[in-house]
Amino acid sequence: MYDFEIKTRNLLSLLVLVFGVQVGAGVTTVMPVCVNGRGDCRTISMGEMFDRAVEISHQLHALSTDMLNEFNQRFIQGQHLNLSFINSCHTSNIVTPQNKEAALRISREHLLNLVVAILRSWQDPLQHAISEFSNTHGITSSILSNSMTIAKQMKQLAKGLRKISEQVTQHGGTVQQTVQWVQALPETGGSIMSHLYNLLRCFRRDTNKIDSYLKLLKCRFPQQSNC
Amino acid sequence: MAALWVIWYSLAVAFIDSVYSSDGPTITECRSLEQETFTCRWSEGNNQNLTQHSQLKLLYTKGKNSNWRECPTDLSGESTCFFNQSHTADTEYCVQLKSSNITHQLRCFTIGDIVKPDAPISLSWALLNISQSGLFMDVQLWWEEPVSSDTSSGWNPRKYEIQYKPQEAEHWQSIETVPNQHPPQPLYNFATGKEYVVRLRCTYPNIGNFSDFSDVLKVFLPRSQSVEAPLERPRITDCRSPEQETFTCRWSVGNYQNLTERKRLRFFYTKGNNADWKECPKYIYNENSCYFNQTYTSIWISYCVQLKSDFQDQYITFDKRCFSIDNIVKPDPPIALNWTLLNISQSGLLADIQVLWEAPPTADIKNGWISLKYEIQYKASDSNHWDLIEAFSTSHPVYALSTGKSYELRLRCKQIANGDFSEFTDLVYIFIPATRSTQEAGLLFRLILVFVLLGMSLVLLLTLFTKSQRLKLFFLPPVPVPKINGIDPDLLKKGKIDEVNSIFANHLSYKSDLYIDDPWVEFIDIDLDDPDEKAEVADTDRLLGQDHLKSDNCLGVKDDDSGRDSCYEPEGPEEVIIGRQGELSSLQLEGNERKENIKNDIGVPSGISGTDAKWSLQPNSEDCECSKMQLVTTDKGLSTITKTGLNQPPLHSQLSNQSSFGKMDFYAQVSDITPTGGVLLSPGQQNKLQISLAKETSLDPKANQKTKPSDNAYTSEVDAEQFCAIDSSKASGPGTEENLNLSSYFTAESLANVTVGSCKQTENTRQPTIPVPDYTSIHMVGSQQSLLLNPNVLPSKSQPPLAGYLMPEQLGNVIP
Repeated sequence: MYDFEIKTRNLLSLLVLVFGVQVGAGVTTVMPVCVNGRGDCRTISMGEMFDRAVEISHQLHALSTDMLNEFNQRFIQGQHLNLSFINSCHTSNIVTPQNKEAALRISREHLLNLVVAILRSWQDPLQHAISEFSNTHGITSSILSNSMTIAKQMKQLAKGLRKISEQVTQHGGTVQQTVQWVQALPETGGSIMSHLYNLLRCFRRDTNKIDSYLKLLKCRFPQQSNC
Repeated sequence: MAALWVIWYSLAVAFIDSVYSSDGPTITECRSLEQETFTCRWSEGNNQNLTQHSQLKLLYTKGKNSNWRECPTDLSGESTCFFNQSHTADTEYCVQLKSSNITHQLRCFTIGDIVKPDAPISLSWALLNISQSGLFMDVQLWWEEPVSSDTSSGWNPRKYEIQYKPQEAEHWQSIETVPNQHPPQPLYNFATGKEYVVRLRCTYPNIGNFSDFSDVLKVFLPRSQSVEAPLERPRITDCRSPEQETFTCRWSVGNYQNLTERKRLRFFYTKGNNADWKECPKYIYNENSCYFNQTYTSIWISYCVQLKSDFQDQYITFDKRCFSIDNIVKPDPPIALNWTLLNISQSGLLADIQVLWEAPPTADIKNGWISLKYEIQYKASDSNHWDLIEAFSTSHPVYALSTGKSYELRLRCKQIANGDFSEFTDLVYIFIPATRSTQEAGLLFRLILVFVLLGMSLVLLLTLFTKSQRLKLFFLPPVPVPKINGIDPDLLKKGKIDEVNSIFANHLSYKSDLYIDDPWVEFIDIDLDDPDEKAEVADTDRLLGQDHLKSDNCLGVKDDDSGRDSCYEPEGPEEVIIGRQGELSSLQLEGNERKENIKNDIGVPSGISGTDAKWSLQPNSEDCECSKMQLVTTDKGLSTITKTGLNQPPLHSQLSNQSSFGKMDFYAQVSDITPTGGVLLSPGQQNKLQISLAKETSLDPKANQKTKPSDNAYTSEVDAEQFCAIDSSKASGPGTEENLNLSSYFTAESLANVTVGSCKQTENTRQPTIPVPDYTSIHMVGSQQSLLLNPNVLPSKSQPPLAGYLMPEQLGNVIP
């Protein structure tokens, strides 16, 4: 009975959280919150924006992990594939700090740029993956819907980060290079799966990277109190 | 001399060989590594005249009917020609080697023909398993792709063929992997102490050729000198990063050899693809582990680590594994787990607490480098089931713990989307003592509950066993018993089956068990609806004519023995004779007159109720003609009810009711009138008839048997009504209407032979006649003119009518 109540509460709070994320994602695009529709506007603080960005990036990572796990369960296991190490990812060319020390060492603007660069580099491959998913027999609807949610959230995150970097780099500064993703040649069924699998693994790794960097960044801005 | 000849001959052969093997330039190889580009190589041969490069050219054509073109990228000095992506397509190529005007060699191919990947490199093996006896082992084979084949196209999956054999064996055993297989590939059941050789090659799944074989790898594991069992090899137990900044790998030494000595086991790692093996940056020997600090830790790069030992002059890899740091994060357990009381419920039975803890000190929560979620687990001490709560901050309430009960609480954490849970914290015990007042309140509550329950059960018992009817009725109101209108339930319980049948006989839908016995009866269906037939039938003539016989029989009869649509042919003549002999009156009435009768029946309250539906008119089917005949008369002595079918032509509907009743008058006289208006008729002076306005009158069992046929007749008549609609336009005058309907009711039970025109009843006609009873009662008055006669009824007050036919209230009416 009470256990049930607690579960309900948890569920409720989760709902609120999810809803909040959705709302937050929507609001991120509108920078000043104008209360009366007149000039009575208040700028969303950097901290709030980072909070929202981190929430989305966290969700991105969770979703990509889910997607990879499900893909792995359905298509990779049972083929005796040992994929203990990742083949090179297309974003490997973006030189990113590989540990905390390095990440703390570089400037926050640069780190932000790196995040944006990684994010942008994934837009094409992700679309490619979605179209592959929708064409591939046996892909579950949850993988497909996950990937679509991911694509949507990535756009939201990119918008939010653009706003943030506009504020951060008010006095100039441009977003770094993005990496061109070269689509692999069309291949036969089995290799499409492993190709997609590698893509998903790279993606999951990069969402982890983005998430880590953003959390780090969030705490490096002075307004933050909850770090 | 012979020897000289032999020498000369062999010299000559050698000379000729050298001449022919050193002929002109040849294309040694055209090959594509990855299905995208290809390279052709040639040798210039020994011909001294052609060794200058300027003279030797590679020309090619692409597809059919195209011109010869020169090599796109001639790597001068290397005798090779490279065709890059822009020059390759899935078409046919021809290449030729030309110097001056001489074509030395011509070769044609498609790309698919010449695909041949590079051989895998860096073949190595590691121990995967060793049997407990130490005699057999499983190994895993590792290799790498040659760098040259790692093209920009990304990832070309290959499949591999692995071949192995004991060193001295002749034949290779081979295993083919599925496409996309990555190392390691396990190989099973190698004997220890025996030398094996392994090699492999690769190919693209659907195209091209196998690569060359890789270098041969020697696999050898000396047999263990340890006698301990089970045998355990040295193995990497765990690689773990507590905070996503550093990581540590641990291993166990096992008992394979005496390897516990410092530096006997060595730990190596690589970082990233195709990197060199480096030795552990920092051994922690007393823990058999290797620590990688921040400098050596890169989070999103793949690591491979292996455990090796130099052993009898060769390195043996005892274990090897690969991972990425973000996947091996397993935080330290949270610390400082504690709790505070939030509140206690009003009853004092439940309490809420707030659980508090701190994140593991190693985790860099502050910088946001790692974010953790926590799992609180708690249970009552005597329970086995842990309740789980997930939390994202460092405190969380736990609700509704019982006071006076001991609980256990523990906590663990993990990175939100990655890695494993930490170990649990130490158990924390929760005990919230129940206050005394709480205990008292609890006791009081229980006491009250017990008393209430006792009181309620007492009231219930009283109610059940008390004699007070009112109270009983109040608590246990009587349940209404299902009733059939017009039927005494007592009869159903106690009465004989015949009585029951006779009761139901008055209900048109009922068929006595005589019929129920045969299930076919239910399915007999008389097709009178055939429009053609109907059309042909002219009312009266038809009815009277022979050709109509059949349908009439159908109307009148349910054939017990046959299937659908079968009709029973009555044994006409005999019956007729009997009927005439009975010499009362038989009426033959035409179906089209029936309608009016039906109307009458419906209109009369005492008519058959509950069967109205069956009696519903079907005005649309005009052509149907039903001929019904029944009449029925009673003779004092011997009366036969003859309801004949059409085979009884002479007598029919033209008889008026007046005449029939006139005849009846002849036989009956009123002998008594009951207080309710019933009239007792008696034939002559001796017979008495009882006329009751109520439709039920008493019957004795004997009479029941007699009434059955009449019921049958009645039933069949009803059926006939259903099947045959009567055109209202054909309704004849009022004078004719009543006859037939009534006729079915006229059952002279006193007469043994009741021949009511039904086929069935023909049987009855042969039955010996039953002695005529003195008294005949009118069984029933269907409408004003219909009478049902009952034999053997003495309507004296000393002999009350049998209850079966009477409703209780009617009983009162009949018998004052």
